[in-house]
Amino acid sequence: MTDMPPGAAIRLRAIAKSFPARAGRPAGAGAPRRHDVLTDVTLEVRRGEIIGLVGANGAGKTTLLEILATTQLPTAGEGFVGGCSLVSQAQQVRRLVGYAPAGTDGFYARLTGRANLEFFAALNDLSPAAARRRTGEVLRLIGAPELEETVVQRCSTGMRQKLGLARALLADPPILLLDEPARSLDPASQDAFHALLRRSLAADMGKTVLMVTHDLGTARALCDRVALLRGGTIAGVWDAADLPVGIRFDAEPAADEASR
Amino acid sequence: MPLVWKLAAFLKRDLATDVSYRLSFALEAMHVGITVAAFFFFAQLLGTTRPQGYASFPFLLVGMTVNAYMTTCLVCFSQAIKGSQLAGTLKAVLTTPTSPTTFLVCSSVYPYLRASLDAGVYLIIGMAFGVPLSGMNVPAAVLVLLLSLLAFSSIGILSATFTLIFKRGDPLLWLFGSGSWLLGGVLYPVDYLPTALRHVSALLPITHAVNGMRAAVLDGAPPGGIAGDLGRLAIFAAIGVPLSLAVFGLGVRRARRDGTLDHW
Repeated sequence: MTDMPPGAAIRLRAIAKSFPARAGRPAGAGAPRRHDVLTDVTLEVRRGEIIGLVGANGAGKTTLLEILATTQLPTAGEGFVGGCSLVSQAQQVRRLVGYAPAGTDGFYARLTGRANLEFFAALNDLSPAAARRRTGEVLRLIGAPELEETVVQRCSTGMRQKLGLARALLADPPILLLDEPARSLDPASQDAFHALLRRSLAADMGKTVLMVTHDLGTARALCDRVALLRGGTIAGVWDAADLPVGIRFDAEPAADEASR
Repeated sequence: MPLVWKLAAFLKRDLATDVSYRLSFALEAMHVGITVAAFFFFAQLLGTTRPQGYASFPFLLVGMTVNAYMTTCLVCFSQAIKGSQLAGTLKAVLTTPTSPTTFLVCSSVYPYLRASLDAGVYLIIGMAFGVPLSGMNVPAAVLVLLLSLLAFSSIGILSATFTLIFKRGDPLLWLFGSGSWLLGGVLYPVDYLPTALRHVSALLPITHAVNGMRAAVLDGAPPGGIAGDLGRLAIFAAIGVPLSLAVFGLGVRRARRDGTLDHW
């Protein structure tokens, strides 16, 4: 555990991440051996806030979420979730976060939504009885009880996205990492999701949410703050209400634009 | 208790998936039946030859049974990794508090049970072809089975690590599987091998698994009667399992570092 500032849920200091330039193959003469995705990410997420993470494609948003979900190790820097180190206390971190990736795969296609969720509940240390109960609860919470008996390979992309959110909620973690959580949802489902996030998860349950989105309107409407990831670093953090209207993901911010 | 719950969850998942492919059970039983029948007729060709003092067909039957069991133990770990990568579930699993090692070990339990069932089917069909199994020493056979499982698994776990890091073309599995088939005494006694190869044969766990199983199943040898084979299998397991699990842990760490956990 580390001395996190009171009220902080996540703290990242100078996080960097690079990948082998061509995985599995030797780099050619003169070619860079590593591809830098994140160079210096410093960010603090307050407990109970919804913070949006925006940035261009390839800016490293998903990489950052995966570092927080402990499926990737940072190349440099240090990060803490709930006071636990992302590197040396990954097991404890996994008890604190629920991660809903952007992709809609990641389920056992021939099993029902219930069977999938009960399986993942067991991996989150829930007893069979608790897994059954919790599966019903989360499906009702996200407003998709029909997924219980639907075989995953018959689920639409949007239904799978809801299932991903349900899975992230299974262990009732205090911190949620959501990667474009409403990308495949129809307008009505998006509205329902926004209400769920704002009212139930954040206001009622006090969860901390770090959410990747490309939609600045959604970011303004849903988030307390918005962080822009650009050039491998956090280029600016704004209160959602102050998010500049014409902000571009791929350009340098104006001198007075960012108020980290 | 969570480990028991997890184990039960893996078994439930794998059984439900397997049951959803209903035809596969019937096809697998037919495959075993046809294999046993083919070896029965092949054994007729060998006439009254008695390899290691056993009648030809029982000798071949036990060799094939152990080899099929070994093959499952070798491939089930890498299949767990590859299957999870293809389905996109590996990352989802590894964001839970369940350790990669627990995931790997729990994923292998259902294939083991299926392989044990298949081994039973091999022997039962063998009985139908006239192999006398009434004198089998069950405790000795079970001991050979369990120690073989551990010894073979260490190679399987190393193979899974290879799959995790290099994704394809696992030379370890190929080398070990082919080597065991050629040198392990599955189809012929190792006495027929040149001296140098006989020394290599002694280093393969399948050699001792096949020897011990033939003695337990066909001669009714008690555990004490096959202590040499059991001891060697135990040594393979005692060294191989911790070593392979440590290597797997390093492999997961490397995949997390390179961001390739779900690459395939």
